[in-house]
Amino acid sequence: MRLEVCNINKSFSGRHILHDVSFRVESGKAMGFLGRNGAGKTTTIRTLMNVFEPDSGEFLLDGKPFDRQKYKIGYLPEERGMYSKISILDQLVYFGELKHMSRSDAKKSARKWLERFELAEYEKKPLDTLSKGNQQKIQILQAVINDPDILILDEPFSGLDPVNAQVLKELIREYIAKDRLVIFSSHQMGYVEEFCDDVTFIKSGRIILSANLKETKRDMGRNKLRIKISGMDMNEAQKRISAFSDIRVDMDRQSLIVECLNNRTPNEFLSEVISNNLPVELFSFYEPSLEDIFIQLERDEGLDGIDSKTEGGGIG
Amino acid sequence: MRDLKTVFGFELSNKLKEKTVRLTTIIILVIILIATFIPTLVSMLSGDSSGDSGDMGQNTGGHSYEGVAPLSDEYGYVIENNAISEEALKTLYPFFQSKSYPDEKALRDAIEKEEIKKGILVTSATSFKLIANDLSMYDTSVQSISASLSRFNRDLFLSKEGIDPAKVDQAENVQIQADTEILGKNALTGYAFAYVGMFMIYMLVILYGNSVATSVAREKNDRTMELLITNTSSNNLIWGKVLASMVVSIGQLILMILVAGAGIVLNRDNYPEFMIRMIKEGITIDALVLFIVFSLFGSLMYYFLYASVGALVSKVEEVNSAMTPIQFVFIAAFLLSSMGLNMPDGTLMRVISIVPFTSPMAMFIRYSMTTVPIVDLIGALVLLLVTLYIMAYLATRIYRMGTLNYGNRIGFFKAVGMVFKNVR
Repeated sequence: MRLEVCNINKSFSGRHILHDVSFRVESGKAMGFLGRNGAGKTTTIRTLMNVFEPDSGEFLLDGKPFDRQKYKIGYLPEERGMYSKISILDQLVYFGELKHMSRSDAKKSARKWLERFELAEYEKKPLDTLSKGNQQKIQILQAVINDPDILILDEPFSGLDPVNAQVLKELIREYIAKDRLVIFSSHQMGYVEEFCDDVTFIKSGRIILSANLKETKRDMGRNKLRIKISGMDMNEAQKRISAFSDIRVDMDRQSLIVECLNNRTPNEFLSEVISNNLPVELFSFYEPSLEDIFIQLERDEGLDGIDSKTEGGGIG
Repeated sequence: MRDLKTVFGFELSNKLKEKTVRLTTIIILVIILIATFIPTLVSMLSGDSSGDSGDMGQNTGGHSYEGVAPLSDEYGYVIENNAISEEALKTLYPFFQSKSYPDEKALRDAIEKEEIKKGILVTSATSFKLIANDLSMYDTSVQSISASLSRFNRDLFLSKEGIDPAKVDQAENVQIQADTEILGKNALTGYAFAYVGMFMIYMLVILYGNSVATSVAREKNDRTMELLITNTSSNNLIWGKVLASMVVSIGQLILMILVAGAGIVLNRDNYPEFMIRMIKEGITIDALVLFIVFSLFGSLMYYFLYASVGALVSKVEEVNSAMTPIQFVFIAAFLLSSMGLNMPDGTLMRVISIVPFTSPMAMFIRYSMTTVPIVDLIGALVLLLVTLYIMAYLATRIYRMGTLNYGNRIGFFKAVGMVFKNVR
């Protein structure tokens, strides 16, 4: 399955929120949808779920208009919403039935998931008697009760402790392994990095990057090197190396990050380090973390530059 | 259709599980049962006590006191300045068993010491004063004593004129045989049904309308709406909810009718004849069908209105204030219908029995009490159905629109405007 989001525009009260939002998601891979608060992630997901209609643009599934009735969809909205005063099993069965499961299948599936998430003992309790983390798990169960073909999770990890996050991670991996289409948004880059083959960044309602994560890392790490000088303070080392020509030096907590400019090769740079009698403790190619990419993209000003990256990322 | 059934089933089962619904039903049924026992209780109580209501039984002033309840020991009297012959007065109720006192002071002392309850100070053949410690709202002593004195004076006058008062009594008491044949409807017999039915609709709408609005608002408050509308249409969600409330309310209504019926049957021997007649003749099959049709569609229409209001608020706490305008409309409909009870043939009744917001109550009141032209009947029903359709459409659209409108509460009319703007 391939879901394509094509040129979606959406305005509220005359305010243009989504600007030609486009990206593509393939089944069997998870897509991490990233952006700062208010960037347009939830609005995009809501238009995808038809919570509201886009002003223009379309959603295609395998090249045809996306008919939500034909697919089993699991959706976890950002605003968690289930009935606080109704028993957990009753409402899970209700949501299962609304997803066109038979009552008995819905009950069976609800019990299976409750068991797996270690919540079976609470099945008759109203939702609001559970802790926040457990309530969050129930919301996730609601999304997967019908074993969906398409799983859309808006900030699924928020509110989960590390143990429960692990349970959710296993669940997402399971869906990826089953060749399902998985989209999830998150602020926690570590989780996205862990599962996602593809990432899409949105900023101020515009997609600024939608590409394969590994390729993006490679592209953004091109001509960049990590270096650490033995027995020298990082600030001092940065000062010394900055004096070299055709390089830009930055640093993180781990090492200095050197970018070779004007076709300068890593070998040439290393030779210069050695010729300056600087003892090398670490020397490697630099691969940015997702967080680095996120921050880098957020820092970039000017939409022209961003658009070119989007095109380079190869959005459909 | 499958989704509608699912939503309906879920909403119905939750309604039936609600403690407030169960408790309200039990309380209402107990009240109804007690109410049907009132005539029996009254007859039991009145049989046991001599009463002190001032009811003077079969007054007045005749020359025979057979069957008159011995209430006269409640009274004492004083005749001032020999204003009237005590012997003559003794022929009159309530003087015939009352105790005579020498003067006003003695009379007052007796009242204060509670030897007697009321004192009559006769100052002339045509004037008297009643003295009492407490006087109930329904006391008829003054009227009875006035009637007695009036009778006394009449007899005196007739005797002076040489006419036998007994002959005059005979002439005055010729029995008239009166029969009534009603070709249309008897307002009197229809009154009871109309009155009770009006209250039933009032209760249905107020109780369950409130519950529909709160339930929608809770879904919005808990952010459940977003999940729901991504799984099924707002049409199914609103109709399922409203129909579930409808079924519960109708169920409650049927229980109320059954309990009331059982209570009446159990106590029928103690009901006055006119009440039995009212019940038997007032509730006809056609009136009952009309009541069911109008109350059903009318309540549905109001429930949709309540559902719209529930979708416009962001928090459950805001529901009550948001519902106020609907409550005003409905209470106005109730008051107008109550006024119409007293003039079922009037223009006001004709108008309110056709206007959709008042017709659910007013039409069957009018129908129970008077003959309604078929044009009015069909016109009112069509208007009600059209309004019901419009309200259902608006509720569905507002619910859908309200899903994502959080923050400031939107007014109903503004929301309606937004619905039409979106449609265009």
